[in-house]
Amino acid sequence: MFKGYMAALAAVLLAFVSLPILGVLSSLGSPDFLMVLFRPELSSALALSLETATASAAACAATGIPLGYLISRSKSKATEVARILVTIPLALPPLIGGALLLNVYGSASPIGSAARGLGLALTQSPLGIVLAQVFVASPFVVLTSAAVFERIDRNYEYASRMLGRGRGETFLRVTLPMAKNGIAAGLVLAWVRALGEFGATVMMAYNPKTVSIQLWEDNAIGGLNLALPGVLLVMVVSFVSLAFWMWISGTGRERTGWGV
Amino acid sequence: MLVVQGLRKRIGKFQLGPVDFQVGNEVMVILGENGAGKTTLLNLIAGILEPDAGSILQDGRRLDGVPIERRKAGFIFQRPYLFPHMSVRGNVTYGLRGSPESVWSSEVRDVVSLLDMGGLLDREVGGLSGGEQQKVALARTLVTSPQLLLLDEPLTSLDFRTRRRLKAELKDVFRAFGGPVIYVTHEPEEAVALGDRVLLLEDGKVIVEGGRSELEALVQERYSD
Repeated sequence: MFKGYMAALAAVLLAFVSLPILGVLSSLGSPDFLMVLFRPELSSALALSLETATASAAACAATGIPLGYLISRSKSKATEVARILVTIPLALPPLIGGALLLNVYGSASPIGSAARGLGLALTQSPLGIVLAQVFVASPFVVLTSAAVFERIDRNYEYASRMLGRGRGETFLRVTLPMAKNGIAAGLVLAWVRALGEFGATVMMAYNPKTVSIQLWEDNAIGGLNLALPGVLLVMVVSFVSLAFWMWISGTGRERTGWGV
Repeated sequence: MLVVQGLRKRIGKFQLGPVDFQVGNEVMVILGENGAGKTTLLNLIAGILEPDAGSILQDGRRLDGVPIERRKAGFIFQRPYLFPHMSVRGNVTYGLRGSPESVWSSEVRDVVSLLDMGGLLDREVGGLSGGEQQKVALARTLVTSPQLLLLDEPLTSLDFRTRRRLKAELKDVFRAFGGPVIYVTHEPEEAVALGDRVLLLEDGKVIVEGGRSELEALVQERYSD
């Protein structure tokens, strides 16, 4: 009886989630499907999204992994505050995040106008897109990294240091390799999140258009007939990323040592 | 010669010390029940913890304040902590500098032979038994030619037979090492089998500190049925 109730409730959610995913396949029957799919503006939007998502993931990796490590290894109030700060973008509606970014980096702000003086446009540019994507995607890297590093017994690091290797060498040769699968999973999530980012990007860089903004505009102008082929394309990219993430998280568990 | 003077450390409500002792080229056993402060004392000597007061000198050189990686001390933990992403060979030579070919010196081969672990070199870390892993951990430490050897209950997690076999091998290892060894245990049989000196800790306080005769008397008095 209990299992039946649980299964029934679960089925409601599964159906709710599956129908839109399966429903998009109906666009395959459209006579204009290929023509709509290979429009230059859609291809360039997708290429831009892939490039900026990759750049954002790289920026998150370079700064987020060190932050995750520091959070995992320190019990100070400062690192607790840092943990809360990096989690805030997860709780903020993306549009609000975009407004906050625009307030600080927009062309009328001190930082924005100083950057413009150096020839850097922080809004309405690929750099603006990356800034928005890093803001929303960085928590995935920081929090995943912190969780993975916390699971690695510090005695592995002490063992390395007792063998004459310094902190930096220990991090690169022991800690990071042991954490690599978990961190990679966090980076994939960050990349997927960045790829699909809309709200903050709309505020910071409506142009050049990312694929999410392009599809939003397609729907506004031409309805679902115009938007669905691009939606299907982005879904395929997302599914491939998701499969990769599941493979890294599942079969490629980070090796935390004894008994594993 | 390792000299510990007035060493103190407070962790929460637990107070270790003051601790005073000296170890020459011999094996000092730190004996005591769980929670006595044995591992804390070993971690202070290793540099994993910094003392609140006191000093640690090795051959006249102050160790307190020196980073772990510059203390030239070898540490064997309760668990082997072999690096799972490296092979046995990689683990054994981890602490050595040089090309993969040059690090396999005669000294390294001597350690491998002493521990009779030649058959383990081409195996993966994950496939080793507990005793085999501890041997690799020991080899990994000894090949770096430490000046001081610290062991924190290295046989605790092993089954009885493996413990007995490895205990016999440890005697040979300590003899070949020839430098100061500090061996933490709560097992009186291990203490008697391996120790030349004893330091008995209870609730962070030194109860007994002495040589072989004190060790035997202590075990007879406190641990015999």
